Amino acid sequence: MSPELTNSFLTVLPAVVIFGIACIYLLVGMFQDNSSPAGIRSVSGWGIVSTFLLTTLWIGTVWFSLQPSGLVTKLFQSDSVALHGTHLTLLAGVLISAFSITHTPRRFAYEFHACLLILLAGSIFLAAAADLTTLYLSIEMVSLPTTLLLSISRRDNSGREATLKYFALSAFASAVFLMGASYLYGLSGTTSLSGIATALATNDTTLAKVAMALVLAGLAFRVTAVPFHFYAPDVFTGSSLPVAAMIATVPKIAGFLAIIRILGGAQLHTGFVESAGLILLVLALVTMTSGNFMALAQTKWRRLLAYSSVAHSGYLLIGVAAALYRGGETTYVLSYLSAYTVMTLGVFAALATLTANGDSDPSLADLEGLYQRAPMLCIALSVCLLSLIGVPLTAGFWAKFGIFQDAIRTARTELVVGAVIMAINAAVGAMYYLSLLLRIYRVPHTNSAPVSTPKFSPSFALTVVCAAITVLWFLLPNWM
Amino acid sequence: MTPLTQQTLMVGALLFTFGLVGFLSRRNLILIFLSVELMLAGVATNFIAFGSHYGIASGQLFAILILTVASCEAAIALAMVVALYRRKSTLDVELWSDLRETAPEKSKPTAKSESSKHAEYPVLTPAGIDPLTTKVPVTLPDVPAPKA
Repeated sequence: MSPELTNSFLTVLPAVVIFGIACIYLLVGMFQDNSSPAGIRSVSGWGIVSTFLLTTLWIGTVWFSLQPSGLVTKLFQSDSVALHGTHLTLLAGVLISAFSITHTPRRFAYEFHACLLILLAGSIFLAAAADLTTLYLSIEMVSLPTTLLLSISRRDNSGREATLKYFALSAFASAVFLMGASYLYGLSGTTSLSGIATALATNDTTLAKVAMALVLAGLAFRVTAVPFHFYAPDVFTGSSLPVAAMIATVPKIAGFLAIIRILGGAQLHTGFVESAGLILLVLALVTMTSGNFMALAQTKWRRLLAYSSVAHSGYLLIGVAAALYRGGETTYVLSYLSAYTVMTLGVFAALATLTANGDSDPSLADLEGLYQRAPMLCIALSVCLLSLIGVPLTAGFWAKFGIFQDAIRTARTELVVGAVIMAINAAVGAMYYLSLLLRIYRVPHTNSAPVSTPKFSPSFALTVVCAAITVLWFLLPNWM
Repeated sequence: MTPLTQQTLMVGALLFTFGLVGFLSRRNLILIFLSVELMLAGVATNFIAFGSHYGIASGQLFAILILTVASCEAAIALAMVVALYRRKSTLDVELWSDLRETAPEKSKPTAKSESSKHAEYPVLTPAGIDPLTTKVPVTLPDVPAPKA
């Protein structure tokens, strides 16, 4: 192998390892018989193995790569975004595969976990992408396995419909993204992202703006920003709980990493302010406002979580816009993403503990009086919900505070106004999260318990772990 | 920019627009996915035009990558079309809208009325014996004894 290729692989070593493991899964899985009793027992084995492997990899990368190596090749580069993106993806991967230990579909056990590993690898490739080609291929490496996961994890009509909606819109979004990318290539004459950034810094023609708008529209689908968010509640409702948790986190991480990469990487390129700044800001404001107000009207947990994730995308987009205006680093965006990942997965894991079947869709009233039945779980769930509001003593506080501070520091009128609107939105968000909290602590009017009292299970442990991470994070904010 | 590049770009933009309009307006599953393929073809045309304009091969390379990914997408899309057709025996996407905001119900076409229209589909001319109308001989016809 040429040294260029070797270096390219070294910058994305965790992803290469994960991809290799996924290939081994697919090979070994072909000789497994899931219909026999022994095969059914081994179904949860896949989840345990990938949780273990991902934990090892995560600890390994955190341990060995405290500083980005600064290695740059034509395809991949190793900088702070790549490093944080890798840690973030691996953390999400550990939590999601632990979550799916008990929720792996029996007939497709090894395909399920192989798809999960491939899309994690895709997200890590994306974090390190230095070229339009690698960026596009990594996005597809995330979106195609997501479709497969949706399709194999739930096989009723709602599952089919969710798959159809996700897949059709994701194919459409990637076509729109590619159209923008082709114009970016036409403007700069190179597919390298740094080349595009320097070429666009001196170019504010209409074509540059159109190209940027198309690219951002394509990526807005991945992060469920508002005109492209309408699939989210339907897909969350029509998927099994671990897959819904995955869709709430990994494609969103991937989408934000792609936006950051397109806008210049570790140090966002101020040359894009003309073409992309205002689009991002408007997108952010519309996204958070409509996400929060739609969430207020929901009566089911899954749809509510979907709209809450839309609102969080809005806050994150403010962070990206602020970093763009300052030409600064995107550390706040990435730490918000990791906090969001942990707390959202915590809430989903709590829902999975409470419902025997991963396909059920509990309404808000079903969880009334949870505190009487499962105090431990209820407290862990409350910590995650408080963190989603962003109250002190939880990770969500530092996350929101960082983005707010970053927006104020730009000292630009539009971003300060944006920050104020964000604060108002956080208050609106607090309204529905607090009403959830009131419901789970309230003594129910009827004695009938629609939701069974949970026994100890991996998803219960996961909720507690997520809650613990959120609190620890507040105490040690520099940890990530 | 040479006239040829301009014209190629125009074709690319047109293909993309046709695909976009088709995706947003069609109701047939297969036509929706064909529209996406049309959009991707437009993008590939764009990349090739820009690549030849700059005289570098990366545009052509990108076009090949797009075609590869498009074929993966087509594989998934067709598998999904088969799975969806088995459920409701129609290709109409309007029928797949059960997941939505709880709003007043509006009348929508049912699967039954759609599937009764299958006389419109082209029918192959049947060939050979129809097993349902022709009785399968239960006993074998007597074989004439070979002449000694």
